[in-house]
Amino acid sequence: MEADVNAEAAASSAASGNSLQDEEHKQNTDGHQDLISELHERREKLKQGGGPKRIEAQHGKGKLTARERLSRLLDDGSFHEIDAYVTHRHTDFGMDENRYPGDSVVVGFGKIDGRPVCVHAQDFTVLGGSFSEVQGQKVAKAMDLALDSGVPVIGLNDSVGARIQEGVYSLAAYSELFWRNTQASGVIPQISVMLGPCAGGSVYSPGLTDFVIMTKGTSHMFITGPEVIKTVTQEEVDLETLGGAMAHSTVSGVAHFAADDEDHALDLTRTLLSYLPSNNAEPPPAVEPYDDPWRMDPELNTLVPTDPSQAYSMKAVIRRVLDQGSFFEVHEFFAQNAIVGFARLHGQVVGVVAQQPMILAGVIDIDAADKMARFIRFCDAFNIPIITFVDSPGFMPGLAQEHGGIIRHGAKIVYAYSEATVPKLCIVTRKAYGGAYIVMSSKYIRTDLVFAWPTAELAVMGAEGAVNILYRKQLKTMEDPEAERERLVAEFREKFSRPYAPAASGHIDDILVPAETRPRLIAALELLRDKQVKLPPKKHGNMPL
Amino acid sequence: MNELALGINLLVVGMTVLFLAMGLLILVMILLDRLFRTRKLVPDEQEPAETETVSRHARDTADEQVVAAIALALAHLRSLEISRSGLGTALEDGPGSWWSMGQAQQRPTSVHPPFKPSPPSQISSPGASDIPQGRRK
Repeated sequence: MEADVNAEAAASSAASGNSLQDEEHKQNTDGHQDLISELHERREKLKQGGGPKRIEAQHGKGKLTARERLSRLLDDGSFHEIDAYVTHRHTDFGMDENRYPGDSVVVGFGKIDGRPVCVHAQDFTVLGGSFSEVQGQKVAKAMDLALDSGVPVIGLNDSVGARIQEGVYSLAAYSELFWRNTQASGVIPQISVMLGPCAGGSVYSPGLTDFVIMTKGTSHMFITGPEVIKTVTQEEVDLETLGGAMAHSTVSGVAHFAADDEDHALDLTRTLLSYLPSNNAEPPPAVEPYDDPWRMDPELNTLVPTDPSQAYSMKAVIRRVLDQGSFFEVHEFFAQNAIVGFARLHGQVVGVVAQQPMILAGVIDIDAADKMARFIRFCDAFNIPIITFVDSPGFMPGLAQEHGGIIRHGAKIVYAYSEATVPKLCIVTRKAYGGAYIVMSSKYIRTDLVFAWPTAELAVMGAEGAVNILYRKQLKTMEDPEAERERLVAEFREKFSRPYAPAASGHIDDILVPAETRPRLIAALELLRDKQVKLPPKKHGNMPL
Repeated sequence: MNELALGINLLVVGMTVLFLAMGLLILVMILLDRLFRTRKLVPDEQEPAETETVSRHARDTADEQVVAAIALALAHLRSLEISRSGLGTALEDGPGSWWSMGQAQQRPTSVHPPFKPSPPSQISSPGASDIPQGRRK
């Protein structure tokens, strides 16, 4: 009997203990559930940015929100946001009532074609995407992560400019950003995608990055706006003419690509990235070769006219020599007398530098020099071999060019080629006259292999000009100066307008049948695959900027 | 004695069965051969006409020339394939140790200082009253 009582008591005690445990467990579970629910709510609020009205206004302008842009840029589901809860800490001018989690920028990391990248996207729906102190800190954190991890950093810009209410704190944050842009230059690729306004000092961050992509109609970049210009210089100019995508991709050269819309801009970013290594210690990304390395296009043999005054398209040469469909032109609309771009040769990324005889006969002017020099330096910084196609009658003559500093700008090309330690290959398709011969990857600025086509002409200047200078006095005394001039021109051409004399003296390494250029370049690239050159120790050179 | 006779009987019967089976098999083979005999590709009627126009010697010479040309072309193609097979293989292999060694000697060092959070909260910008309200346009 006593035993039964004890058993009942024990059972009762156990039951009450169990119910207590259950109660505690339930409370604990509910507590966690509340915490997680709160987090979900906060996450939902984050996605709202500046609120539904501002998102609607953004869509009304034909623009996407920062998060929508990132989701379209990055691989599906790969984006991981950081610093999403950061808010600004300023109180002046009613700023204490204008706090949004994450402030006016979305930063994080994700993947493009499976390769990690760091990203930052200004959120125009939050205080116009104005550049605040915390925006600077968030972007700086993303850039630090990118630099430490050796991955590219991509910025999507859409902002009214500095947050005036924060005063010097905003400006200091800009400085931090510019400093990081400079430190990261040549270490990781930096790409700026301009999807809205970018005015004042804020333009220097994209200006410091490697590539700028602008959308037509919706993006603008300028230091001073139309109103200030009108006040100071009396010039009247509209936004598009001043700092639109086409203005910067045709006239100033600030933008490397002009996109039709935001989707096109983001597609261009992904394509561009497919040619770039993640950092300067990696080789550029190769693809499985899909084009016959022995493909010899017979069209090449007759593509260059034998008459030096006739033009042809160098882009047709480039497309026939390199892997089919691989040429991705950079700065397509700026200084069109020069061509730069990325391509693939037997699946390997190469940088292409060339003249375009269809535009200004392929002459080198200030803009063309800047365009080529900057591209060569980028290729060298990121281990991309450089292939140069030469057909240039020389530098652009004229007062505007001389006073504009063509000496200084032209010297940049020599500097860039001479400094570059990546494999350098050169093909002289036709004219290589005077200074153009020297600066365009000639043998003696350490180009590894220089080839020439049978149509190549390596000379100080064209035959007519040379005869006029060399025989001016003699021709005046001749009975039939025209006939004598023609004879001398023909003699000069025979000597200098053919590649055999420079080949005999080793100024060029070989003369190629044009059709065999592709296999010969692949073979040369194979040889130079592991090329290593050491530069003399120095802090840095003094490029003629 | 009986055992010997029995053995002889068995031998005779066995040999008879064996030879009968072999005979049957030969008959089946002959039958199958007649049923599935290979037919000539060219009808017999055409042969006399052909022999009238082309002498056997001339035809054999032409055939030999064709065969020789094909053999030569195949040999050339084969040699071409062998000589071409190597182009680009080093590129497909990717950078070698020489490149890696050179890169290792040029490795960049970390240049940025650690991320520092902003100053304490609730900042009041000095001289803020001098700044006009509104954002830059």
